[in-house]
Amino acid sequence: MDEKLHIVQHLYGEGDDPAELQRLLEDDGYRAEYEALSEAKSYLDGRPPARPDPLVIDRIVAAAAPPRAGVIPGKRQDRAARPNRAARRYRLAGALSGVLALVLVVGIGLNQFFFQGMERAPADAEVMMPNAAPAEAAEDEEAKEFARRNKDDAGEAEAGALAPASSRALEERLATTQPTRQDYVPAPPEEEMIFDDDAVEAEPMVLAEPDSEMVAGARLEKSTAGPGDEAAPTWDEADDLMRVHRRLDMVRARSRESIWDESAVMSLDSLPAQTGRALPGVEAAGKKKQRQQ
Amino acid sequence: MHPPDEQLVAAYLERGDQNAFRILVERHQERIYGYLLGMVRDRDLANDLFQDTFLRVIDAMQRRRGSYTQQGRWVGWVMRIARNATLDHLRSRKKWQDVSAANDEDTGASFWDRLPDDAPAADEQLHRLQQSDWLDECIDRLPPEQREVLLLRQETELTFREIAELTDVSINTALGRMRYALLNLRRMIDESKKKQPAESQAL
Repeated sequence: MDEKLHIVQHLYGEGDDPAELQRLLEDDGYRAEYEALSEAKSYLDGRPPARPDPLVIDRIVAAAAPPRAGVIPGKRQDRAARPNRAARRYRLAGALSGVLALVLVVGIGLNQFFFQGMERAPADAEVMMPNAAPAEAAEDEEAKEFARRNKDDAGEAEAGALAPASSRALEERLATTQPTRQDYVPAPPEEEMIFDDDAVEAEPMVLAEPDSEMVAGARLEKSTAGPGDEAAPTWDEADDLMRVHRRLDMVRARSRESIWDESAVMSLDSLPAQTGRALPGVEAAGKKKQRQQ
Repeated sequence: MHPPDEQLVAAYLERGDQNAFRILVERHQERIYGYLLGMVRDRDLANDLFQDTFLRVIDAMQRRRGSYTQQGRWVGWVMRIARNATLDHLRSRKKWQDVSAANDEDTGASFWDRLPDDAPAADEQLHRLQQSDWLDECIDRLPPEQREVLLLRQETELTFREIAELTDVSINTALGRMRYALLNLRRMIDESKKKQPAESQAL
């Protein structure tokens, strides 16, 4: 290390060996250096000490308080939380929309309850006070109308030959598909049947095939049902059975009319005379009258 | 009997003793504030830096983080924080330029050539000679690295070895800077003394 630097160390009392300073000061050059440095240092040592503002000390000590308990005066404090108006507005809007939705639902429910209840009132009255006679009359009228339409159709298709054959076939099919009495599910009350009239009228007149399936389904339902279910058939099954009954009645009525419409007395012209073979003992009334005259 | 720094520091860390911390601050306030004032030459700014320094100290001590490990002198650790705060400020104002040690010793350039040539007029110097802040202005005219070492040694009473560690230079560099700073001051004082009699004779 440079000897001059040792002088600086000794000047500030950091020299390791005081004898070294004495040895250095014996040299005139080092002595002059030491005196110059000592003079400058004496000026520096004479400076008055500078102190910070006492308020700064107070702020620092206040800030030194344990965490969360102290406030830092020197630091800018966070402002208090401001209420979030936007969030409050959203909450209010949500609550209002909820109330409106509730009012709407309740209103629709009341509307359906009152107005539709009023519209159903006559039908309910019929249900409450059933009158079987008009229903039966309507059924008869319907059956007759159906039979008349069937007759017209049969007349169009060479009535005399085809209609009886179709009636017989129908009877045979009905005989095979007609359920026995013990297979019937108890029919619904008469007032409940009133609602089925519309369905019967709207239903196209399909004959026995779908009915046989329904009856078979009803049989299966009855066979699989428990003993407790026997007395309480479901509405759908009752409807099907009622429909089957009505159709059977209509078919019977039609078949009856077809049989009755056949003339009991056949004209002689239609007898085998047309074939060239005369029956023995049978003679036309006109010829017989001419012969008597 | 005054408790040592380490005992006061322990009292604050373990019990949150604010009074112990106050004693520490008041004990070292002149050293730290003297250094800060000598570096920035503005009392208000020095107050701000002083407060900022101790707020950093408090934060580091309360959270037990940072460079303080309760090893070495507490004031040395605080001085490092004060120096960083000061350099941050000076760099923000572009009043600090790091100078390598080679500029002082290896290039052979004359130290006197680096003195700023903005000396005030003689009558003004004479007037200031009697004022307390004249020496502060002389110190302010020193090159920054010399001024810093001079302030650290003169104000904070850190040893040259501690100054060398703090400023990240060798101890010889720290001693050389201190030597040049003292010689520079001595020359400025001699010039003022020479001008003073000449001006008084002229009058």
